[in-house]
Amino acid sequence: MPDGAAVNDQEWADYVFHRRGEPAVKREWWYHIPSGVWFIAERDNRTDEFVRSYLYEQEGGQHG
Amino acid sequence: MPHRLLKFALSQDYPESRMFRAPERLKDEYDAVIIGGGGHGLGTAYYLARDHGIHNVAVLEKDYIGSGGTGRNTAIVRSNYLTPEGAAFYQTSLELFQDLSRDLDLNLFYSERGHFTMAHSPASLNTQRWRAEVNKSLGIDSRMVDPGFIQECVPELDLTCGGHQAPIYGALYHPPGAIARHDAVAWGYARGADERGVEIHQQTTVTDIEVRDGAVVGVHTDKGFIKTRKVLSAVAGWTTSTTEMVGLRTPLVIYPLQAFVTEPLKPWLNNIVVSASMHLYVSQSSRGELVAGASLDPYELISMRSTLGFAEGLAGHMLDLFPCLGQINVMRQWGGLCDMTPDFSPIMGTTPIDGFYIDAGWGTWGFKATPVSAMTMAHTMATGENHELIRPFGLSRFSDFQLVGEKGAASVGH
Repeated sequence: MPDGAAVNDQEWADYVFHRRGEPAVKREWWYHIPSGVWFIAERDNRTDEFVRSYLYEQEGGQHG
Repeated sequence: MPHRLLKFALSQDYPESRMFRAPERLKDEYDAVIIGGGGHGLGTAYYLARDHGIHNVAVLEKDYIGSGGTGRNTAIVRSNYLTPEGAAFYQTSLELFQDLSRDLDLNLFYSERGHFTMAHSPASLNTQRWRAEVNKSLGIDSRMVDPGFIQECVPELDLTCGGHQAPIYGALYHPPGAIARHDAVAWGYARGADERGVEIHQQTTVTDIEVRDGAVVGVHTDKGFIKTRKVLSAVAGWTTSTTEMVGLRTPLVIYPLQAFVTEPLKPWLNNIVVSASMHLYVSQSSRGELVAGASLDPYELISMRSTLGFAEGLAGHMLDLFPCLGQINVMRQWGGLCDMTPDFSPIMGTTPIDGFYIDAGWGTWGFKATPVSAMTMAHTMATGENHELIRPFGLSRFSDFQLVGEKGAASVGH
C-alpha cells in the first residue's frame, strides 16, 4: 500500500480504484460462520477453486 | 395470403434471407473494428453506418451474437435514475427504445408495463419519495403510490409478504418502465448494420491489440491480423481481457448475475415488480414466462454458472410476494458476467490510447442503455470526441475523483 502522504492524486486514485482484472488467483478474506473465524483464502476467480487457506497470524501477519 | 403460404410450403429454397451475411474471411483492413457482438457493439456498428457514413466496419464476436449480457438480462428498460447525468442518459435510451422496432423493422416486443419499486418500511418510503422528487425535477415520469394503488394494479400481490418480511408500505412508480425481447435487439441491430455494409464475424476471437507509439494500429485474431486505426471494446463482462491487451488499468471487478424463468402462464402480471429489500425483480414476458432476477452473486467469479442456492433464495422471496405461484415450475436458470464499477455507472468513450475506445462497466444496468450507448459510441468513434451524454462516464473520472454515484438506482441488493 503506497504512503498516502508521499504519492500524488493520480497514484493514490490508481491504488484506491484500479486493479488488473484478468483471471487470477486472488487472496480474499473469508468468514467461517459456525466458528466465527475470519481467515484468508487464495481462490482462482475463474474456476472458483480454493488453492490454499490460512489464518492471518499463520502467514506472519503480512499486509496486502 | 394463402397462395403465398402454399408457395412457401412448396419452395425448395429458403425464401427469407438470413438476418446477416457470414463473410468467409476477414479483410486486411477496416476503418473500424468493434470487439463484441452484443447489443452495444452491433448497435454502434449500425449507427456508424447509418449516421456517420462509416461502412467499412467489422464486428468481431468470439461466440454467437448476443451470447453475453445481451442474451442473459431480465430485459427491463427504465430511466428512474438518481443523478442528472444518469437520468439524461437513460431517458434518451428509453426514448430511442420506444421507436426502435420501427427503426429496425423488427418486432422487439417492446411493452410499456409500469415499473414498481416496493418500499418495505417508512424509512424506505422516504428514500423512494426522495427518488421520486429527484426524478420529477429531471423530467422523468416517476411518482409515489400507496398500497391501495399497488393492490389494484397487481391483485395477486400479497402486501403483507406472507408475514416473513416487512409489509409493503408503498412504492416508487415509473409508468414508462418497459420490457423487451432482448435477443431481438441484437438481431435487429445486426441486420441493420449488415444491410449497410458492416461485416459480422462470429466465432472470431481477438487475441491481441497492436499499439504503436500510443496509438492503435491493428488487431490480432484467431483468423488473422487486421489493420485498423479505430478499435472499440464492447465486451462488458470480458472487458478485463481487452484492457489487459492494451495495458489499461480499470476498476472493474467481474461478478456473476443469475436469473430464471418459469413455465409460461396466461397473461396476469401487467407490471414490472421490484422489491429492493427482498432483492428481486419480476415481469411476465410476451411468451407468458415470469422472468425474475435478484442481487449479484456474493463474490467475484468470471463464470456464467448458476446455482441451486440462487434459485431457492429467489423462489422463496417470489412466494412471499405471490403465494399463488406455489405450484408453478422454474423452467430454466442461467448466469451472466457483470463488470462492476465502484459507482454503478458505465465506463465509456476515449482512452489515453489513441484510437482505442471503451464501452464497459455495464454491471447489472447494460441492457436498458443499449440504444443510447450505441448512438453515443458511434458518434465518439466517428468524430474522435466524446459525445456530450457520455462525458461524465469517462475512465478518467476515477483519477479525478468525479464518480457518478448510481448505486441507489442501478440495482437491488445493496
